[in-house]
Amino acid sequence: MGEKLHTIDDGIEPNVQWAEPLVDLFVDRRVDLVRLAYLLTGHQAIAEEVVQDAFINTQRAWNRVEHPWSYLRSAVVNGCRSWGRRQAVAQAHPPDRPEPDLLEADELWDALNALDERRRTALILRYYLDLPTAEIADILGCRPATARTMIHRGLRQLRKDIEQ
Amino acid sequence: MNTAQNGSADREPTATASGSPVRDSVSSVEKKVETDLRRVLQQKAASISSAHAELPDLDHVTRSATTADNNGFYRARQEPWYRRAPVPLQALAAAAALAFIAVGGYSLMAARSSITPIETSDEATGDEATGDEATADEATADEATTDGATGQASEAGSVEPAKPGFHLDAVQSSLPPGIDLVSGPVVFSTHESDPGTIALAYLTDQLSSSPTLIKLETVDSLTVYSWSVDTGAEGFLVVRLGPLFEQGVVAVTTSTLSVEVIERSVADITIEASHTTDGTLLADVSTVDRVMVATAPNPDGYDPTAANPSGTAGWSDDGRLITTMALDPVPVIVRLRSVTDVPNVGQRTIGIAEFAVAATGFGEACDPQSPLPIDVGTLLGSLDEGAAPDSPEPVLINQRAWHYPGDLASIEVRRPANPQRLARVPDLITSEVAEGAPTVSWTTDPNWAPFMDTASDGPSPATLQAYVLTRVGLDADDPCSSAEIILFGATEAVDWWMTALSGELSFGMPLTIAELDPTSGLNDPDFDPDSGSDGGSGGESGGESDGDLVVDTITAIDVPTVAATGSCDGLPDAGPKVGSGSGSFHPSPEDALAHFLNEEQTTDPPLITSGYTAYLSDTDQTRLSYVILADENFALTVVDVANTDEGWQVERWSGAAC
Repeated sequence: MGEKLHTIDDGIEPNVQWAEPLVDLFVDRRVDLVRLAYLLTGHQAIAEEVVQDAFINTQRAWNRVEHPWSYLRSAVVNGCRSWGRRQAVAQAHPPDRPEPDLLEADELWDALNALDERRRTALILRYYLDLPTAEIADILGCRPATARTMIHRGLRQLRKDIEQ
Repeated sequence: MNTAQNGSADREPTATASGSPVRDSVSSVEKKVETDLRRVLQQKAASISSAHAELPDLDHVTRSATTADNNGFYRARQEPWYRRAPVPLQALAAAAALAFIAVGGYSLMAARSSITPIETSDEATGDEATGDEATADEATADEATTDGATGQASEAGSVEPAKPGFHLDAVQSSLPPGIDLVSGPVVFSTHESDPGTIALAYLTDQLSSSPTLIKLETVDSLTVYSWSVDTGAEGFLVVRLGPLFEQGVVAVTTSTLSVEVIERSVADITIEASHTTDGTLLADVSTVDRVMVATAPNPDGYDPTAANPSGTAGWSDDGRLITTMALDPVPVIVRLRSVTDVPNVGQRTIGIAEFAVAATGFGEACDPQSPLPIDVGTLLGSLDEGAAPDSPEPVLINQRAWHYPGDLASIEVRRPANPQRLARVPDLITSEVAEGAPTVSWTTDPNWAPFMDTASDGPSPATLQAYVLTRVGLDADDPCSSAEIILFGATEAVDWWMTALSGELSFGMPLTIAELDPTSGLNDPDFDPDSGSDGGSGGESGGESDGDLVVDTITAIDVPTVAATGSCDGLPDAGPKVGSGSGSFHPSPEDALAHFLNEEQTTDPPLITSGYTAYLSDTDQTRLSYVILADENFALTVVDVANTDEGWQVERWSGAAC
């Protein structure tokens, strides 16, 4: 099957240019963000979409973005949380089961995904990104004490679920 | 992204097992969970490889809109391609879409009632109508309009088939010389690596080995490509697609997804769909595996990878599906997508139907008086009829609304409550209704804490929406027995709202917001968004309070001190109140704390009875402090507990003076 590609100029030119630092972040850190989004959503396709949206939103807000990486990361978390809420509203099913080669992690993974969205997010930010409580609280829009509470209760719930 | 990447030095101290009875009881099990959790997360994250990716198409997103039209019809955040295009191109696109529906055998049937077609005209905005886009297809606009495609798409009821191929003529005019476009059947497929992106391919009548132009259009962009085609006996094309795709196989298969609305109620919609090919109901219906429903305001945001949100697809043997789906009573766009596996290849074709559903509502309006006269004090304005101008939700048909306006946030009262939201909270508390007092009630289901939403357009500034549902009548079958309170505004108001809902207030107590301050949550140690949902569960140590007695454990050198308070209620600065325990002994430090707080303390106001953080010392394992933190460095309450030969006892306590 031979193939030959010719792209035809359709006359559509983007009228907004990407900021260079953001392009660098896209090249260097996109996968990191997709991984984070995947942990938060359980869907790789959704994760990639959320990350794409986060880059777009960051570019659109570029003039007021002081810390692009933090902004991107928060945008991804927010995007995943919004997606999660839509899922809840749509009475969606739990996240997909993981790949077969990771079945040994199913129990904890399932328990993690069974947590409510805020606690799951707090745990992932803490134990995947190793963020301090203050930063988690900032991303989640709550006080540090609340973030600590969510982490604590999330861990406790995980423990209970696993022990059952 | 791992510990090393983010700097483990950043991390805060966590409980560590050390042989101390306190520490062991807290951390030994959870430490393992922590370790396992880290491992699982790293494993999962590692499964995402560094696949090739392109920067997203910023231009088309910039042109998207989030507006409501004159009819209050909510538009998609990223509108379908044929409605985002500028006028001349849009006419072409609408025509192409219509032709796609007709030529490919896709039919879009109107509902028996309450369905209106999606508008395809008058959508161009200043942002959308870029000159570059318009010029490419200006020459074709007349053709498309002459054919009346746009007009047909705007008419209510049904969509008439368009002449096959006319849209291709329009495309032809924009092509370089020497490339001929031939009309033919429509392919509608997706790419495996991006199942949410739809490609429309307009093919030739007869697949041939000669170079053939294929026009690809996606939901999110419009791109024209040419390629060489080498067709096999099965009629498949191997194509190399543009930036949105990498490479994939497009199956040459036509199919039809027809949809008819059976019933539209205030909370859901029942539809009948049928999936056919060449006019015949699909025999092998087992391959029809998905029906997607997308609703406004973001119909493009549906999850293309999720299972059927209505449960199993439930297609009958003759290729029909009758299903009921939850649907908000506001105007929505419904997009149905049926995916069919292509035999022998493993690729898929898609039948799609998209239609607008008008708003619905209640049969008759309820009493014109607000059922929840809330005392909002001076923080908000007086009660006004109707929804607030910047309300996050449209008022439903025959739903009454009132609002208390404010600068920081506004509060709305709606009656009846949104049935969609009500359906998710089946256990509204009704015990207080008989007393006639306005109540705030909530379910005991911990998964349904007061619902908060924040804007998704970047991390900040964000907005808050919180909803509380309540019974205001005894007849559960009467829609007027339900009402809801909606708070919306800046995120700074979250503490205000959560204070109102925290603790006992969220369980059938009269709602009074008069004395609440938007910043009061910062100084209210009882404030905890989780407390409303977890209330009543009691602590593991046997505490009887609504929340957990001890919520966290920290190993630290220094215990925060209770600082002098600033002026509160007009009082001058005051140092902390201090006192000592009664001297009773208990088997564990938490028991000592719980007994002291629930049985012994006589302070007025009493010390907080839940939400403590245990501060352990690395050097002295005979004592610890339980602390209510106001922030990282400031404590509102500290209770020191020490171990003796007879057991644990509260030594002393200190608390903020107000």
